[in-house]
Amino acid sequence: MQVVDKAVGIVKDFFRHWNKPAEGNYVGNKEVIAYSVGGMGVQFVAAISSQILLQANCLLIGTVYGLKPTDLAMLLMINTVISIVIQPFKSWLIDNTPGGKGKARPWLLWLGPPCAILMTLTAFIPLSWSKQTILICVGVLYILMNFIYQFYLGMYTQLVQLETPNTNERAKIISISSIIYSFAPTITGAVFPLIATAFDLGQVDQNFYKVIFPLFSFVGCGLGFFAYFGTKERIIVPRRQVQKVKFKDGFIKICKNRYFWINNISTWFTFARAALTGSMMWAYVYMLQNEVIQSVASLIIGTASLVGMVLGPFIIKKIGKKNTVLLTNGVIALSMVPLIFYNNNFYVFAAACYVAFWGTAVQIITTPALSADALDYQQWKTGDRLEGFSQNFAIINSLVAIGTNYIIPFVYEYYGLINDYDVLYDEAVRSPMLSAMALMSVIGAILHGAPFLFWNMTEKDQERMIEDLKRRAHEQNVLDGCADASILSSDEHLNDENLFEADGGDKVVEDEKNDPVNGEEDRL
Amino acid sequence: MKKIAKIAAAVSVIVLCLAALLTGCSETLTVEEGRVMLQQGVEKAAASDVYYIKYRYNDNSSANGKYTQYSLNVQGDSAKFTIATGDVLKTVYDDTYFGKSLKDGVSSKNASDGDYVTGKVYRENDGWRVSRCTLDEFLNDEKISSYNMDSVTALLSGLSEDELRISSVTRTGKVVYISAKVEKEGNPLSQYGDLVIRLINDKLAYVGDTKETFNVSISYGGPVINVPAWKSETTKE
Repeated sequence: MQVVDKAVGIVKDFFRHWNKPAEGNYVGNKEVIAYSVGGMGVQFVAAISSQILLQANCLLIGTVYGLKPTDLAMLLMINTVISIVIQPFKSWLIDNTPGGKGKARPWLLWLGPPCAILMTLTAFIPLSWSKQTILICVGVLYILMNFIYQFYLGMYTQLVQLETPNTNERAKIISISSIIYSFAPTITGAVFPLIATAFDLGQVDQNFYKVIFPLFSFVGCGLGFFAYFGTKERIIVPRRQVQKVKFKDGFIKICKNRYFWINNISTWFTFARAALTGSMMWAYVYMLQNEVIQSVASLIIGTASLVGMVLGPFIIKKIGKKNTVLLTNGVIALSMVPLIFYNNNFYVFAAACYVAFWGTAVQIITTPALSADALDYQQWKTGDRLEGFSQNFAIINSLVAIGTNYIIPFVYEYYGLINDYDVLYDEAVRSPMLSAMALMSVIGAILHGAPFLFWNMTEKDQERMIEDLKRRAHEQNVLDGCADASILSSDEHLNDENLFEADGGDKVVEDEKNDPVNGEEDRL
Repeated sequence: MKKIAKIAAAVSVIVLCLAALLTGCSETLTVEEGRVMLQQGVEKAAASDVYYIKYRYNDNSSANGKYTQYSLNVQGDSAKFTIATGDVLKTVYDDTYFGKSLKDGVSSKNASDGDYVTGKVYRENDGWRVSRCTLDEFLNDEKISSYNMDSVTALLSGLSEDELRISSVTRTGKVVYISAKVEKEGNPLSQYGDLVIRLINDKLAYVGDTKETFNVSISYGGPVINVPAWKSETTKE
């Protein structure tokens, strides 16, 4: 009975804060739900995007279009170079979003439809065209689609960082939204194989993609509008502050922020960590060869993400974000070890991937939360909000990716996967290749986690910085003669109790050695 | 901060070294070594009773770029032969099976031995027909025999140095790449000019011309074959 009362209490509490946020928070639950439903839409688009990769293990690009892994790596390199060239423009667009509706929200409205159109076109390249023509078409469509899709996805992820300056509330929103939006990949994971049974060649039949691409990308785009219409951005900023940062100055500033470095160095190894889990589709198609079991297995494996995202906030609360990242990467590495030695049983393969997907799901919460903390630190340190600018770090990441993009295709070709993907039916070809991928995943997970050993900002430090930022913004408003103006970019007024929380601000100002960088400079 | 930068630089160097190391894994072999490896690869292929062969002919001369693909998937006790013809509009498949087929409308739980027929299963007007035969008979069927393993291995067997001119041989990991030209009159490969031959795990895996007008690929495993249920039986005359 007590449990029922508690559950009723939680539900009542949820609706009590439907429009008005709880004390100390900034976001009502109505907005959390809008963000989450929008996230489902974004994830439907992401599910289609995951079917269009310049990788050999992508069934459409690899098996159906029959493009060589090394050609795909070359396209990926071209895409990377183009991304590097247009990255500053993209960053400028984010920091100078027209329309006054915020930095991230408008892009969710503008980028969804073109993304869906380009994705749809990718499924309709005639197979009878020469390989070179197909390669060019895939390349052009991918580069355009990837730019727009990454922008779209990035803005959705960034929106939560802008909705609230409260790091715990951010983690809560990310957790709730990721639980809700993870239904999208769960649905697609289960439904795609079933739809595929309607086609002669199943998931390697082009007509399958001609159905799922337009259907899910446009439905996703439509749902994504919820995140635009139902949310607000709340940056702590003095009323009259107009931020202008020169490219060089901004770049120097972000390069001096150790937290950006840690977050980004870690991403350099994501490709290696996902080397094996990225081959899950191969396990289904070439090892399992049973679409009904695949459908059930996809549903079960989908729960790994759900479990990860439900447990994530509790683990973070218990051990902090940094330790959560270290723990989950360790778990991913350990889960991949058995597959180095034995990977021919689908169920063993799926069980190991389940654990790895769990670890990755927990990091769905920690990654944006840590990025947001790095941005807050930047604002606290130099007074600049560099959402867009921080993305210029992607230039460095892209340069690294030029080298790393060739590693996995090389391993494929080394073991015999050139352009005839049917060799994967042969255990003698597939198994040693998967062993190499598993080893790469172990090394990748370790290297992915290692940079966080240098992360020294605690959750408490972040809270103190926010208090200090609020105080500074308010003081600036007073100096500017608009003391009653809101310190949030959304123009909302904070409750008295969460304007300046207790002694937090004073502590930062008085205790400079608590500065996560200044106090620790000698350790670097 | 300097320490972080140093670590970043060290990691970048490691990654680049790894990439450089991997790209340097190719080994050039002599023509003679290549000839021996090819012969052994062909023999190993011929000894396999599980294989999935695909012949693909691309007609790049027409605006539509039509192609025809013949594939033979042999998985021990069952087989499937498919002719796929494609153009810009769609691909049409024509399938013939070999295996143990259950009579249409009979559930496997209630089936008696008489409901199962082992043989060639093919589509005809009103549905699937079955004709009793052995796997050997199926593979040597007039329609199929040109695309079975014996036909592939025959393309590269018993060729003298003058008949098979090998220009280069390289090995990268598990793959041996042979560039060659067949100059034996009457051998179908002689019409395609420069060829690329690949061995994977020392077994013949691919033969194709450099212009991509023709290729045959072999995998020593294939999709699981589900033999359709038969509706009527063709009796031998």
